[in-house]
Amino acid sequence: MARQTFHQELREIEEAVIQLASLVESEIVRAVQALTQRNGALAQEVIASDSEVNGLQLSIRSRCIALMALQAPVARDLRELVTVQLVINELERMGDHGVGIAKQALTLLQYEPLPMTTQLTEIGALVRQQVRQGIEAFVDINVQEARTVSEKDDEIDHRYKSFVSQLASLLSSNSMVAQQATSLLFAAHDLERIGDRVTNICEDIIYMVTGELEELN
Amino acid sequence: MSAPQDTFDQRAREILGAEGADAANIRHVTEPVKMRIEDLNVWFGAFQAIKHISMEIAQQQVTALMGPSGCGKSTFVRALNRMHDLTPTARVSGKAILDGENIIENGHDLVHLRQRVGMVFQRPNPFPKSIFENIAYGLRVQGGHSASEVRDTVERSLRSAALWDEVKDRLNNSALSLSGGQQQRLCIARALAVQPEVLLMDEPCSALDPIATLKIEELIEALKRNYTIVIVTHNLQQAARVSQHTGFFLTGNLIEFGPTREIFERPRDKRTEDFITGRFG
Repeated sequence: MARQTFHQELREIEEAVIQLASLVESEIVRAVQALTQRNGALAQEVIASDSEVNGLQLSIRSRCIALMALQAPVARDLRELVTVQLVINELERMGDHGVGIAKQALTLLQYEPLPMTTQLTEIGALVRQQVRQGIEAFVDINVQEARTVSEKDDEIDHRYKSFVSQLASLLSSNSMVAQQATSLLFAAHDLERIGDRVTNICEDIIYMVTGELEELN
Repeated sequence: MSAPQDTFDQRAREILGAEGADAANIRHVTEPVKMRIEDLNVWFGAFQAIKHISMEIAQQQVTALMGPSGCGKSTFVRALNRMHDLTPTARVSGKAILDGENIIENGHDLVHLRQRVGMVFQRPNPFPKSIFENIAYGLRVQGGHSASEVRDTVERSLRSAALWDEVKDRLNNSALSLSGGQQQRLCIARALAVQPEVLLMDEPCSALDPIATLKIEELIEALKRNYTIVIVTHNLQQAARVSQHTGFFLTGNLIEFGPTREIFERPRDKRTEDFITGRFG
């Protein structure tokens, strides 16, 4: 008799993880939009929606703990449950970064816009793509895809450093924009960290498939 | 060959694909080898129950053998102390080399072998004698022991089997008055009395409650400091808890053998994974 009930619950947990990933992706996209389009209402919406992300993460974690306690999973089931818990932690923190960006969007509304938001939009687009592809690699259980995605984090890091350097130049020439520059710096840092968390998810995917603990990038 | 076994084999093949093991999935042990099995086969009449098994039993380690009912794990372990000699239709070929001696060879001294390789069975089977006599019996058969030596050995064996404190005041009571778990520890003590080097355990906890099972598992952990243990178990979690090496049997084949953590965390053979994750049962 195969363990149908256990594996059905595992499938339902996978679906909940995909739902969580979709919420987080949307949170990040809307947070960047709120900042670049100076949309306060959208920023408030993002901040409010984070409780849904947190609630779903806790519910998935609780279901994972129950399965581990009651079903004594082994081999790929064990690796999957361990990976799910790592991935949902990363997703929840990515949601927090989205909230961070939305808060900076609200702060920036009080000041004149700086011309550098285009670059932030570009970094935001790269990060969104990274999040999407990282989740696809998880859903597809694809190690190669995970490796390819993690390599793309270099581009985000490169853009982030260039953005920070431009902000520093701007600040040295015009100290009046310190508050805007600081907010943009925090927002860019949140985006860069989201990229790093996608790399962590890629490492988790490799563990889930191969059982090997590997450090990428 | 029985019809149910045929049906089982056929179904296992349907579900799990081609039979036989990939040699790469039978790993060598890194510890000193106590027993080396080479191309071991067991037949009962025309039915081949064990097929070309080669593996190593690491010294002073616990090796667990698991697999579905009828997979041959008990048949295999019984071959390691020549239990099949008692079955007229049984035929065994290959080698089981214990410290350099092939114990499968004809002419091997079976009394000496069974002293070196003890066996504990699924159901506790104490003799209908006193607790003391159950342990002393083997020593009396062996001969050459003084009364005080016998007393000392009885105490040492009962202590080793973590039973002494529970029975020291009633050694002359019938062994049959003990609980199931105590009877099983008594059988372990009886096996230890003749100071074996290898202890074979064929599902030693399957007739015991969880507390008695826990005591036996703790005992196995303590015993491995001095003995090499091979345990056949239906309980996957027990294999994971007590052993350092695990072998997975299916339709008479050893499908995979390796460190227990690897078998339960990332088995190499899909059939092992399907079995331990409950995708086949």
